[in-house]
Amino acid sequence: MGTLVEAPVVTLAEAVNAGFEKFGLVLGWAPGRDGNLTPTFARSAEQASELAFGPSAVYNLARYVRDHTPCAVVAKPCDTRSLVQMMSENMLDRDKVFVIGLRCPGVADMKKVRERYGWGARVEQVGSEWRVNGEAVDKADLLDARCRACVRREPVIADVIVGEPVTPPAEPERATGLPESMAERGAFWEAEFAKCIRCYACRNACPLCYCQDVCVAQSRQPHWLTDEATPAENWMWQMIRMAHLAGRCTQCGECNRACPVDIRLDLLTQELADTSRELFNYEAGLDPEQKPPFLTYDKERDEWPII
Amino acid sequence: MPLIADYKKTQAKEKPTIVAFLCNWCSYAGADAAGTSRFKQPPDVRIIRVPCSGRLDWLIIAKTFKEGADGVLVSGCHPGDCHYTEGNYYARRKLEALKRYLPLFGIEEGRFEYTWVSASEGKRWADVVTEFTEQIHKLGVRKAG
Repeated sequence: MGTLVEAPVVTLAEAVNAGFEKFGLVLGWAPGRDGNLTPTFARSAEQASELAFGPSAVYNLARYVRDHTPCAVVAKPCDTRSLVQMMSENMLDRDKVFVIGLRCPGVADMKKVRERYGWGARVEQVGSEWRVNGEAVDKADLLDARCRACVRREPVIADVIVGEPVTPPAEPERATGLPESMAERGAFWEAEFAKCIRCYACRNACPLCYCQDVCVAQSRQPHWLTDEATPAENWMWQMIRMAHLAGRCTQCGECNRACPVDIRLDLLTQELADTSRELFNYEAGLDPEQKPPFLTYDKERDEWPII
Repeated sequence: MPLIADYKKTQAKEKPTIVAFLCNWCSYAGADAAGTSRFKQPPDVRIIRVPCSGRLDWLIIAKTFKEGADGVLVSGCHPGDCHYTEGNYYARRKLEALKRYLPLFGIEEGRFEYTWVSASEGKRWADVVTEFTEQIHKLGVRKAG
């Protein structure tokens, strides 16, 4: 699996230099105060030389690309899918972005790292091994949920490719934890949505939540949502997100990572992807030319049992 | 008390609330035909007329559940017969997807259905709506989800 692109394989430094020379702005990750990687906008050659990749490069920079074109961007395979999806929606011009596609061995679940090793714990890759504060750790254990569910370890689009080929896991790991019975599911989601403080981090982290005029959450006409953070309203908010991302979500996992109260948004994005695959044989973000399933129809094939 | 409903609206409710969204051109006329032909119909369905089944945003249905509905039925023209040529082709993709999402939140399968009824199918409407109401009465008032 995985759409392979033809592009020269170079080192990260060479790729960043090429991107910087072309557009004068490179979106990437550089070590922050705690040594972990943090999103960085490199506007000078000196800043560009600091850009790096490692297990703490969790952020999907595709989210910033639309607002800063023309630019170069360092993108993990999942991030390139976000870029492709934006291109298929005519929200991003291929010529205005220089994609530095990474072959990705996966990134760390930073929440887990901080829970176990405390704030300021530093994750880095040395050789093929991961180290937290210099000590070797079990990589499979710290791998982020989105990477365990990922079978695409090659960029979908790229101008240059960085890194060694990575063997993807044969079987993606499924997000689990949803109760079987309907009554338990109701209770499960009530507890999840009761935590929600409606900070909209899920929306703000999402590279595809780009409504330029006004988000429906703030709209008063029509009035879909009130500001009350009750479980029912919070459910409605996530239904809005599901409705707007159906057939578009590339499962980059950013909403799940950004959620400060750990609502299980991975279950929702997984459902969106499953439904698209089962009903329309569609996977988002693989081809800039493909048509999103809800913007088209197929008279012959679209037959589902109805009452 | 169900999660996805405002507390006040579901408090001490004995009978389930059933809402049907019918398209103006086929199903609403079909329901009308069922009435004028004097077919027996369940009295506890609240019918809302919409211009086309393609007009139905998912969120309208989601909000109907949030406001405390126990069953939602959507009915439009048969695929191929849409007054606007293609509205129900788009609608059935959305409706089928939504039907799969709702059980994720504990809203039982069967609480949401969609169907196609034409303007002349008064009998079919009577059958469909009777079957659907029986189904909802069997499921009862929403407890979870």
